Amino acid sequence: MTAVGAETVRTPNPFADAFAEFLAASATTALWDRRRAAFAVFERLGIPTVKEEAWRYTNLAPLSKQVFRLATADGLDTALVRHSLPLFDESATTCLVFVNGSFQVALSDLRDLPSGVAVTAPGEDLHLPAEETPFRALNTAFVREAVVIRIPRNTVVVPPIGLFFVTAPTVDFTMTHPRVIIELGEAAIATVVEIHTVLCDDEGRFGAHPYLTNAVTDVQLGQGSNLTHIKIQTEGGHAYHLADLRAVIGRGAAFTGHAHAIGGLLSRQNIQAQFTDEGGECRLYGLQAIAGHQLADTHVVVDHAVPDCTSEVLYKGIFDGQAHGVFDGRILVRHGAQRTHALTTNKNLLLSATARADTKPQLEIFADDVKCGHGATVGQLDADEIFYLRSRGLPVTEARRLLTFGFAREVSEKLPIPSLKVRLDGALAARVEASPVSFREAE
Amino acid sequence: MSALAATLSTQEYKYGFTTDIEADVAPRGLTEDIIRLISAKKEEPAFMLEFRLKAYRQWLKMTEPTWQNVVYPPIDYQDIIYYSAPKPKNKLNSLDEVDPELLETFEKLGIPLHEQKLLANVAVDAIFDSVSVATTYKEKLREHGVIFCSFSEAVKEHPELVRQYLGTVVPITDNYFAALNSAVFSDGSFVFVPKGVHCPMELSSYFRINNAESGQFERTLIICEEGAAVSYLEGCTAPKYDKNQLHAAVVELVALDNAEIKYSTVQNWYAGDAEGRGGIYNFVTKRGKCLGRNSKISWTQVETGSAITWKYPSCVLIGDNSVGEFYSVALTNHRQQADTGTKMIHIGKNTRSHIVSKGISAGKSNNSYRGLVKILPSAENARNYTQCDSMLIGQECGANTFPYIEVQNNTAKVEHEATTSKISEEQIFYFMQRGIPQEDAISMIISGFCKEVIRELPMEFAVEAQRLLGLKLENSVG
Repeated sequence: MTAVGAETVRTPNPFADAFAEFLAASATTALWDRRRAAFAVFERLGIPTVKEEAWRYTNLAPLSKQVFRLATADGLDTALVRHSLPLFDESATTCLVFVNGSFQVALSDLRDLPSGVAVTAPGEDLHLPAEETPFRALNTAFVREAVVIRIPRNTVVVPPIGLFFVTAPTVDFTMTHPRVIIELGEAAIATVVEIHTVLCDDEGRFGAHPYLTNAVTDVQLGQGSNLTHIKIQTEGGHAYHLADLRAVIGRGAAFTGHAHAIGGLLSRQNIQAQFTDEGGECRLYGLQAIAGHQLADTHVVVDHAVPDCTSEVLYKGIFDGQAHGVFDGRILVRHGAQRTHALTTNKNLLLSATARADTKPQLEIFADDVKCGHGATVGQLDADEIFYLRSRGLPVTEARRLLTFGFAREVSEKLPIPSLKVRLDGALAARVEASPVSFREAE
Repeated sequence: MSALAATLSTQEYKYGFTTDIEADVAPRGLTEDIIRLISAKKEEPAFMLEFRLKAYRQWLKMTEPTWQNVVYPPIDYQDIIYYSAPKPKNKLNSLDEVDPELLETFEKLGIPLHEQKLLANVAVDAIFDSVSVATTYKEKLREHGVIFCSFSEAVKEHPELVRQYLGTVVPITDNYFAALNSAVFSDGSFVFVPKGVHCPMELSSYFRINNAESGQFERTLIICEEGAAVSYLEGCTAPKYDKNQLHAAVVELVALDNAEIKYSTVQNWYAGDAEGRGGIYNFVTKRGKCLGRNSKISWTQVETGSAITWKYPSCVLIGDNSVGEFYSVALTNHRQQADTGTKMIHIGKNTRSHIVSKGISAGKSNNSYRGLVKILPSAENARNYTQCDSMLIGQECGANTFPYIEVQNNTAKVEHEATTSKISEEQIFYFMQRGIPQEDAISMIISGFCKEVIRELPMEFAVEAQRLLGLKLENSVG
């Protein structure tokens, strides 16, 4: 690694060196200027600190102390990757695989790919919205290949489109900047699954490296269209995962977003849904199941700018060890957004004495003919319920497992893809079983 | 909807008169000299001056907070009069010696200053501009060992108590306005209830800002020793002025083992006119410390006045099994802004807290609940239940809820619920077809909405609060 120059010490920017190299290696086009402008935005905004309201519980200071390099797929053992790809049944014939940020034609299967779906290196025509957050800007600065899914009007795509973002780091502090653009035409229907994960080999050597994934997803829904977006994050145990999803929901369109955070040392998911016309629906479900020293942070904003839209947000957290869960759910009902229905629920389960949950459901309402509410709870498994199960002859670990599953079920059962549901349950089971019985009830 | 749309009235502010009383006024602005002057005027011991100067120097280093959800033009702190007192400054022994004009003012406000009004059975400390003018029922309280007097009197007569507790709940470094208050506070109430005594009557303070350009910075300190109990009420009014006035008070409560403090507020400062001109900036820091085991602090507030309200009566639950409660009704109309709520900090074992907040917004007002429930790792088996309900009247107002829940102990159980609703046309129609006029219908619906909070208020206050809510909303609907 090149030494961090005196300048970077003055204003630490963990990405400056990588950006200089990246610019030098890419062709000078209009996009070049776009990247430079975006990087300038990032430099101006800087890495957020805990003094900023949106980051008060999530400290990115460790991030700013490192120097990150773009990950490369050079010299990658394709056979190994193929062997350990976390494919699921339904996605077998429509999947796009990215390893260390580059698209793998050989690993992807596009047989059932509907017309209109494209994977492109960002071209001159790539329309990217203006950056308002530092990490969006950083993504634009570094984005190499973007997935563009355009479903034409009246088209129904039955098989879920699987997007696999696999990181297989061989050195510390590499980064990738995945970008997904989904546009549904009038009355189009599709399901997109985004899986962000670390490559698992038998020795688990990839998971030992710290790395950064900075993902951005932009969703645009035309009139009457319907998108189910599922995101499962099982990054490595030392990884930073920052993700930003923005959905613009048109007239009568429906967006269902599932976002499950299981991996990563520190993960942050921003979801911003905005209604642009009447009759839109937005449902956001998520599970945060973490342990050890993990932190999972979810920030949701649902912007009811127009009348007659419905939103439902349901997030559950299961925190063990010294894990720290953060939820911030903001419902904004603007002037004139009458007959809005909005409900936010956040429930958290603390499985250990050292786990921590911070939750902040917010309502901002400027219209009077609305039905809005939110609820938040934090607690532990009910001792009486555990006692009941034990009185029926179940060992305490089993009782605990059952109750934890039951708690998660409300969210996981909403997943429309059976094999993913099984996988999520599996991940959860591994979580629950790996953790020591820290319960008072366990004698 | 148009039938119910807001046609807002300018409900006359009943307490908007001014009283022409000669006042002893300090020069405008804030410097160390002014603080020395205030301290000298009040003949304070050295430790008080030290406290003030420390606070002032701290305040200079601080910046005004901007995170709250309110908008107001910058305050010029050098354009405020920090000390204003009714002139006849000789020591008063009984009410007969109080300026009759002043008594008349309190009469108009409906405050039972006269001791003959025995029926009221409320001991009153009346604070006019910055100075406490009269405290009733002193003798009777003294028999029980209860000290209830103005803050300045407490500084003179019980300096050891003041010194022991002042600034222990709200330190001078706490926030910008608390630091300002600590530097310049001129008076306030002091209550001390000794071991095992249940205060025989309700204690009450009435605050009145009279001078157009003075700020009011009062300081209340209530100490309840082991097993003691007290119920304290405060009421606030101010004349109508076009200019905004600053009110930055600090209230500190300390409850030792098995002690119980009930603090009720009916706040009706002048709210400004329908266009938002004038009115009080009510930037207040209120906090109670449940220091002892099984202690309890309960805040009840009915906030109907002030152009801007910014306050979070809080409980720090240190003692095991201690209880914190917060019951609030915040009503905003016209262009009022309120950002209010509570903080419950659970430190001790088995601590419990209960929050009920009812926000009513009408006109073009903006009403926010902001609350923090924090369970520290030491707070085994802590319990919190929070309920926040908002009601919107009209299409131009806003109702916001910003709860912060931070839990660091898995034996804790924390629940938060919030809803938003409106007075529906069906409800009004139902009342009206039963022959109940619309105004009464609204008043009854509002009463029902606020019932859980109002019933926590002492009787006399509850009646007044109900009436106040009705008055404030007159002509807001329909």
